[in-house]
This record gives sequence, C-alpha cells and structure tokens, in this order.
Amino acid sequence: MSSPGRKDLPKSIEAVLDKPFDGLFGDTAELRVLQEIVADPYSNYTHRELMDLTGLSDPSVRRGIRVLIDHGIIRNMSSARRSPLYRANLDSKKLTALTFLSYASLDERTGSLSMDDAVRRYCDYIPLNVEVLPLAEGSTLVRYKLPDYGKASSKAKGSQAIIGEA
Amino acid sequence: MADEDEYRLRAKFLGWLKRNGGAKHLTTCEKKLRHLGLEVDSTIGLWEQDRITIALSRGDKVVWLKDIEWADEWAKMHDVEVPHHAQSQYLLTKEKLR
Repeated sequence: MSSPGRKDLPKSIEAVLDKPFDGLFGDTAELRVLQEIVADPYSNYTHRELMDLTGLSDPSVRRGIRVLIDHGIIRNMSSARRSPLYRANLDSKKLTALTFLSYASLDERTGSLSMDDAVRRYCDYIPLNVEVLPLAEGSTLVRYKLPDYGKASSKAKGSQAIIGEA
Repeated sequence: MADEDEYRLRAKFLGWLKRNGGAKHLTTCEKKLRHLGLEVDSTIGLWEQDRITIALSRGDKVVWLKDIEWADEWAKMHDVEVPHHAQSQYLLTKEKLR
C-alpha cells in the first residue's frame, strides 16, 4: 500500500503508535491527557485544546484533568472559573519521572540515549546541599546533607552522608 | 505564546514528538503544530528527510522522527528536555514582571 518514495513505518514503532507510554499502563483517558502534558509540559492548555489534541470527549478530559490536578502534575492558571487554563507544574517530581519514562521507552526501542542525557542534565539543576569542612592540615571533609523526608522517615532528618574525604 | 521565538516552538514540537514515542499521525501533528502556532510546511517540510519524515502506517500518514540525537540537541539548546525547578522559577519571575 506504500506510495512511491514513501517508506513504511518500522513495525517496532507501529506497535506502540498512539499508545501512551508505549502501552505500559494500558490506554485510558487519564493516561492520554497525562501523555499529552508530559510530551509538552512547556505550553498552556485550555480544556478545548486538550480535547482536540487527545481526541477525547469533554467528560473524559475533565476526568483526566481532575486526576492530574489531584496529583499536582498540572495547575489551573486562570482565575476565571469558566475558562480554565492548565499548565504543567514544572516542580512536580512525578512529571519529571514520567518524562524519563517516555525517554526510556524510546531508548529501549531505538538504542538512543535520550534518558541518560536527560538524567545528566537534570542533575545539573538539583541544588545539592554540600559542605566542605576543613579537617586536619591538608585534608577536607565533603559532607552531603540528606534532605528532610518528613515525619515518615524522621530518622533521615538532619543526617549526613560523607561523600568524600581528601 | 506569541512572545516565544519560532526556534523554541520548533524545539517544543520535536520534544513533543520524541516523548510521544518518536512517531505520531500527521493529523495529530497538525493539531499540535497549530496549538504551538506553527505550520506543517514551515516546520516538518523544512527539515531534512533523514531526520524527520512522513511514513505510512496501515495507509495513514505518520510523522516519524528518525534522528533522535538531532532532536535531543534541539531540546538541549532550548532547555525543553526535562522539566526542572529553575524553569518554574523563571516562569514565576516572568509573571511577576508582567
């Protein structure tokens, strides 16, 4: 069925075409909205635009949006109740993790290194709480303060990991 | 979106395609390009066919990102590779200045 000069899509890509996260979690309305936001977290979306981009009905998009708001992945930036404007929460770790997942799926199919590159780049932006303390003459202690994980893991609060001595 | 330069919008499109598994139906790509304020001819038609091309899947036209590394470079250059805290701070500052 190919037209002259037009190549067929490789079978490995065809198998996952239009499946959110390569079909790893199935294919639901919520996942389609999530995939759209993960694919471009830098744009704003109206309700109508999300319907258009995902091909979903009004109630399905509404359901998807509710889930993403509950998980802190998107926010409504509009103060007008009747015309919400959604934007990804760029501080959401779930959003970042899902971005890595989308790269992982692609990398495993194509042999690319998008996830490795993205992880490296992301690490450049993590503000590390590092202290360099002088010890005895000519030696220093590099101390990395672990983050406070809250009440659930209060043992970790204020603890330190020594990541190097020189 | 009018204050964004066209190169950044193209980088956003490539990033979108990449995070969608590297291929999407042409009709869906047209919708996304419109959402970004771009045209198909001035975007996909502009790039070399060994980087991004239109292929067929069960008779349907599909935009296929063939050169992932090249798309990665676009994303890195325009900081649309991975969401991070500094980007949200930048947006907040920009909104406050408005």
